[in-house]
Amino acid sequence: MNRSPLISLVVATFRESLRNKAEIFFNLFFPLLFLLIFGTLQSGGDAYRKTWMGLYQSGDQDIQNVIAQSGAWEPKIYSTEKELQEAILSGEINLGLSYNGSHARFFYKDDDLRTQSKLSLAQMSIIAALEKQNNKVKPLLRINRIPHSAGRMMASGLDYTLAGIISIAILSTGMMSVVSMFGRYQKSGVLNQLRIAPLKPISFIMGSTLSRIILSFISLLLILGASVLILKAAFVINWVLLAITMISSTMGMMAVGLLLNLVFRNPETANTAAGILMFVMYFLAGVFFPAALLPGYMRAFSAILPLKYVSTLVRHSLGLELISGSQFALISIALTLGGILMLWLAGNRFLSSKRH
Amino acid sequence: MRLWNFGKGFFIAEIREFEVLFWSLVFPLILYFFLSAILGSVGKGGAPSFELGVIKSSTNSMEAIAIEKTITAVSDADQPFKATIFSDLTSAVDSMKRDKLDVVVIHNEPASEASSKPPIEIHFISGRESSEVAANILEIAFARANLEIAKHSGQEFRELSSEAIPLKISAKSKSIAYKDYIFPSVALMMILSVALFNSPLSLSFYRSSGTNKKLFTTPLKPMEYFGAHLFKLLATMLISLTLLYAMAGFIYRVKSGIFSAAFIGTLFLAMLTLVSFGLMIASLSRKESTAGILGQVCYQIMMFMGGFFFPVFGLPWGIRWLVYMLPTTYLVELLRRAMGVTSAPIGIVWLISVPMAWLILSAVVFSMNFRKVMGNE
Repeated sequence: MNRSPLISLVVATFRESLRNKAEIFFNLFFPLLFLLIFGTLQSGGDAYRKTWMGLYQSGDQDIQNVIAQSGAWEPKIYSTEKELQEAILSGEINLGLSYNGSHARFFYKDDDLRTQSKLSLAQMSIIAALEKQNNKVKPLLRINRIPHSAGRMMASGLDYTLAGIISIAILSTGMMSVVSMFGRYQKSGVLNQLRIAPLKPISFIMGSTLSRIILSFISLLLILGASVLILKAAFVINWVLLAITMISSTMGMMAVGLLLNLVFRNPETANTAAGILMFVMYFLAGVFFPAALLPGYMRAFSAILPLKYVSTLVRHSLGLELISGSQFALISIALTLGGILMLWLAGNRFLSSKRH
Repeated sequence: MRLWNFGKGFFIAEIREFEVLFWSLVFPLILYFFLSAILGSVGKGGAPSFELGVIKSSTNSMEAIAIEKTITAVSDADQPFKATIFSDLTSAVDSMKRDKLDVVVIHNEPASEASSKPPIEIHFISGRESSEVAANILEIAFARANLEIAKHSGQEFRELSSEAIPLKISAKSKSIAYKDYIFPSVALMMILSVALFNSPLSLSFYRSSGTNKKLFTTPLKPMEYFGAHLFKLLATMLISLTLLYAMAGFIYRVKSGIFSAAFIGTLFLAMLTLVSFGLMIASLSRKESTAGILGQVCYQIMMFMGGFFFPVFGLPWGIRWLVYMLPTTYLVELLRRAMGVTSAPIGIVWLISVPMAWLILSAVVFSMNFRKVMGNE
């Protein structure tokens, strides 16, 4: 029985992808490597448990309870100030407090930017708690902190970071795979051969991109598995929505990749432009550094990048933050339509016999 | 003369490649700008802006007045919050869930005059960083308001003094600006990129495309070819370093020892070690794709686990051993020491001997496979 050209092409390009070690690595294992590096680096700031604050007390007063109740800190006692400082320098703890009953000295490592960003808040909250206890202040204003879930689960900071990495993996697989594939086909002359084959441009484009969607799906399963099993992410996944997110986002990012291929005729230039775009999105995703540290103009700039919209869909599908059904549908449809439009344009541009 | 001519031609052919030109020469400058712009102001205050939803109490109690004054104080011009009034908690929390607000504060009224006063509620989204930070700031503002009320109530009040002290591993270690601190990381990233991408990929490409075989039919010897390859790498790295130095010197006014002999000497040690490492990758890879994959994996691990951007000595031992294995951990620290900064708890002997050990190991592995790598079997 003769297979349709579309299915034959999907099978052929998928087999070709499996034989291409570089493509398999960059689509499947590179996002995994990235997830493991950043997941491990950032799991120290996990909100599931309190962060250690080293404490050395030289006065009569025991302030362990004050620290434990003042915020997100768990006191860890050291018997001398030197021992406390050594613990900070060795990386055992990030922040230390030496207290003698009238003066508080907060220690941190001078190149630790993450702790520096939290330092003034920690200092103010602990001093306020100590002054309250020392002066037996009966607070007029009593505070009750109430955490909410914006989704189907009570998320931690690490869950948000992992969702950011997953979004980036989807973006990267969608965009980079078409940029490298078309670059390769252009360079090796495969596109010229296909132009004279009895194949509709749209069939070729659909056939070759469907195999990328399958690869993208495998990549997503791998990084989700690593997030949940190794890094203990608490995602509550809606698999149907996740599948829609994955397909629409991959299509949307393929559209961006194809646009780069159309704008930059030289495959190397298109590849470099894709690399720059990915670099900018890595920065704005809050993976390298907390997004709250980014200047306002950069956060505003991120609104025009696809990352923002893919992240919204991913967070919704993983249960971190819910959006309305119509919003989900609108973003997914926009990404998918963008993908289809670009696929059609690219098909005509690359395989049109007029260009031959 | 033949070596010089071939090396020059090799370099010109390489630098004409747009990818090489961009990633080796332009990208380090962009990265330096990005990192200095984004992270240069961390810990120096700045004015974050948070959206605050407020549900006001209709009473004129002392608490209501104190709350209102506190909220006004934190949402004045140049203060971190922008307050919006909501009529009910549900709509405010919904708005927060849709990321329109960072935090919500509500002052509930007591059920009756006799019942106890309910606390102020600060609502935030768990795990969303901006929301958690906004809730923390607001909580501190109310805690300070309580203390101010106590101070002005006439009771004796003892204030505490406090200070924040940055710790340095060595007493001699200097405090330097972030634009200075990040310079060694950017310089090493550029060297890594040339050593782990350009070098093994071009060696593998010329070998697999058969160019080497054709070249070796001419009087050109494998050692001359290898010398030209090294010349090309060195020239690319030196041009890139010159551009980086120009940017650091003329634009960012970096002064912290980057022109010292120790710093420049360490850069040369880094070039030798990492180029040697790249040659080892080339000798272990049969195909260009394998060289690309190995180079990419080593690049990412050496950059992020080498402590270029984040402190890595607090990682669990399950992964910290990797930090101690990497040559880049020692090279970046050695460069920082040359700037007068000590950021890692490692003795100077190790800082020199570990990269040297990698240099020797890589050179031995490469020389054992020299003929194979040169495509002259």
